[in-house]
Amino acid sequence: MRKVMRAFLGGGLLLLLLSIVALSVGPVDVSLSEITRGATWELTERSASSIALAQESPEAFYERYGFVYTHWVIVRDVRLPRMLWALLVGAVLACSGVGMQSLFRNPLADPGLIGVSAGASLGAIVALVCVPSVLGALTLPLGAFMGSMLAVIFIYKMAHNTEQPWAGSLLLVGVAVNAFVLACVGGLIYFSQDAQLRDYTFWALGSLNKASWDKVSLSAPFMLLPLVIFPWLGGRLNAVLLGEEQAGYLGVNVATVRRWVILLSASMVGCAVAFCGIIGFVGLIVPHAVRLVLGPDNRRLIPAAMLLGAILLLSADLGIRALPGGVEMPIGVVTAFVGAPVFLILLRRQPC
Amino acid sequence: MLEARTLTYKDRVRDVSASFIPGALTALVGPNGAGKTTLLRLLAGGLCATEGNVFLEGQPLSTWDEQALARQRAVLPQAHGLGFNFEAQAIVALGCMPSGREDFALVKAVMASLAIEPLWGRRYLSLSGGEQQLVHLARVLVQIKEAQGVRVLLLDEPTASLDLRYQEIILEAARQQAEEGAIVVMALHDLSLAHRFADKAVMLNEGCLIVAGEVSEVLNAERVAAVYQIKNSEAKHFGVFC
Repeated sequence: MRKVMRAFLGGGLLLLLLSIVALSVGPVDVSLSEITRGATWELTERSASSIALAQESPEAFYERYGFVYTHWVIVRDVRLPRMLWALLVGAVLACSGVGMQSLFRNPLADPGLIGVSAGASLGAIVALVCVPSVLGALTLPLGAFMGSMLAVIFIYKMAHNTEQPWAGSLLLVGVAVNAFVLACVGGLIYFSQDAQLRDYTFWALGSLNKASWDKVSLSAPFMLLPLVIFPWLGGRLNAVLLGEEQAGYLGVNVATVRRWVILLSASMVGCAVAFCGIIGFVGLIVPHAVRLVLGPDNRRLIPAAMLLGAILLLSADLGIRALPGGVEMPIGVVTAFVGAPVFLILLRRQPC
Repeated sequence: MLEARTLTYKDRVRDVSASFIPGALTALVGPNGAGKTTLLRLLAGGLCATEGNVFLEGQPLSTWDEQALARQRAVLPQAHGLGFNFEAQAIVALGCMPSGREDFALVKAVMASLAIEPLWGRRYLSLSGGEQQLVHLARVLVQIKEAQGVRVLLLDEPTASLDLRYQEIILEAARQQAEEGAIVVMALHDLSLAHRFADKAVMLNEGCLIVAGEVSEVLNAERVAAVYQIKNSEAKHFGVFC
């Protein structure tokens, strides 16, 4: 128990530290005291006249409030939404990774199995190539989200109509649908123009750099709500690890648990992928790493994986921001580039 | 009482009616493919019969509340596909799920009764097959330990591929449950073990019930020879039938 407390405490502190770094470090360094002064001003003293003052005479504004207005705007409108996205998306991917691995009783399962990513890819490319951008910057995310929902529903329904046990059947249906959907994506890429292809590629490799308050506030409920509900499923997911029939004998309604896990995963991962693209390996590797430390009990694993997922994605994003160069490295590239070797090392160390 | 009435499942179990009483250990016997496991899963409620019904305390199994049923009826399967490395006592504690509160004193007591206290804190995947089976047995015993009504324990080949010592421990534990008033039904392919530990036996062949009754009556040499398609002398050769 003390080990668990220590792990959570350590993780929480690390996350806090990384968050402060994420807000203050960048092309313009903003000190922590400046950030707190800016936040206090934002919450208590913000008014049209003080903003006008900042624009007319930055020096007078600094004299009066003790921070540089443009610095605060950078923190508030650029770094804060991006940080929130990193935290949410990291937690979401790791959490649904735990859910999928428990549901399929396979430590290699990840949210991609139920078609979230492939469906989103198809939705994204359809939105880019076939639909004129009526909704502006939201066309791609909306298309991707709809694509991922349709793929999940299709796979889920198909898996129910076969004679085989559910988990195995869903895996097979998922493989077939994923292949088909990616073939459709390939076909559309063939017909796309260079600019569309470039947009698609950068989306598909994953990135947090489109973060803005509009998008974060639009996407946050779809991720936050499932994250709050998910830990309630932990105990029942432990029973599911024994096998679906055995879980049933323990009084667990497996069909209900399954429906919830898929619904919540589809919502939160679908949303994360739609806005931030395909960020691989977080959902796979974080549950593994946490199991090595805390064991496989889902009641602790789920919150701990959320914490580590958030830490990992925020660190990856900090790493990207620290790299020199004009165009940002896609974050999906970084997570897979670092994640795959780490995963191999974990596999060699011990089964979990 | 646990009752099967004209129970049919596809062509694997055909029109089986049998009743199982508290305080008796009943062995389901028959050749491979006779329908022992299917009948056991039907009795457990893990499969739904295509015809007929299972009644526990006079009430059809399908109308039981899942939680209430889980507090009274536990099932030990033949094989476990658990690939996650829990500590042994955490698996036993899963038996507390239906009651809704984790009672580690109870977990400890049940583990002690099976002499597997030393496994406390050991990782599941590092245990031997026999130890793993005992951990699961402890789990199902915890599950029905504090049942209000009649307890039902269903075991599917619990000793398959285990050595003599584990066979003794597991069957002895099942016996004891029956002596304490539980309904115990066990699929068992080893007739000499059935003869030694069971009170009653139900013999199946090709999905049909051949005979049910006291174990010594069910397992007579001619019938065994006929059902298992061996010679009379071979059946006697196994030396378990009076």
